Amino acid sequence: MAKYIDIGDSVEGSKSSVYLRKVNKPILLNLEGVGRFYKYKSKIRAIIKITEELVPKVYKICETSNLNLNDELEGDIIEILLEEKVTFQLISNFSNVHGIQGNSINTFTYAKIIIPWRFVLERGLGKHNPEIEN
Amino acid sequence: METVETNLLAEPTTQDIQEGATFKIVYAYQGVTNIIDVDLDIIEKGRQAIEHSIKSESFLIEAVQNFIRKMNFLELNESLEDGEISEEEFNIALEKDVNRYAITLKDIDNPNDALIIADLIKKIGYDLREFSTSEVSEMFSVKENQLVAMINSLRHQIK
Repeated sequence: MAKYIDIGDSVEGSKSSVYLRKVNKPILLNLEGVGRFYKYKSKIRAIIKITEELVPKVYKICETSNLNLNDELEGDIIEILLEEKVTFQLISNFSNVHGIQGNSINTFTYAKIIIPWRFVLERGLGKHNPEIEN
Repeated sequence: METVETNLLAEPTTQDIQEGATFKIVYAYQGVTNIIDVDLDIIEKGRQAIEHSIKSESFLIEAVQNFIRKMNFLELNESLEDGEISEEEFNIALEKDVNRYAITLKDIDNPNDALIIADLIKKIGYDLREFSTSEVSEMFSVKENQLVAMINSLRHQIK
């Protein structure tokens, strides 16, 4: 189990829980040789946690995806691919401290961070990295 | 054999063969001699330019078709959310003609395709939107991880 917050980090699992504040309307993607997916894109803030591992534990979409139980993504904008269409319950003002229930997704989930937290971006750009600044 | 009428007359001329030229086109008209040197390099560049232009056009058409697919799916999804159609009708519509609604992401078989896509994005510009790699892959129907890997590999080659 680990939390991933960097740009491009991804997770894959057969079930997941998703916490969102805002989400775009889905589009339908057909990945040649993989399958058909509904693609959602979160806005503002999202947390995606794997609640059931893939069987067999092999990636479907991205070879660098994290596949362990309770692996978690947290970021500003996250894209989510689901095998089935879902209606998300949007949660406002959620935080890790407060145990608010998110959306239980009972289908294959792939999620990837498109835009991480600002501090992660700034760290990458060297704004707060003394080694790069000097 | 049929004789083709022409006002071009053969005129005697001597020309040096330029090194590297595969063949020359020499023609004279009203006393003026014109020479075109043609080498394999020019032919290859011409072929590449034509191929690039055909491929660019097919990518642009794909981008417009994917835009239409996105709109079709948004409209279908909206109909479902507004209760105009049932979940079952929604699924039937998808199964009936999925190509109307789904964007297919294909494998990139030629590294040049990544260059053509990069070139098109540069021409489209970033004034309207700063595209993410996943948006570009959806636009041109290519797999994102392959697109990123190819652009990275090309970048290293250029260095």
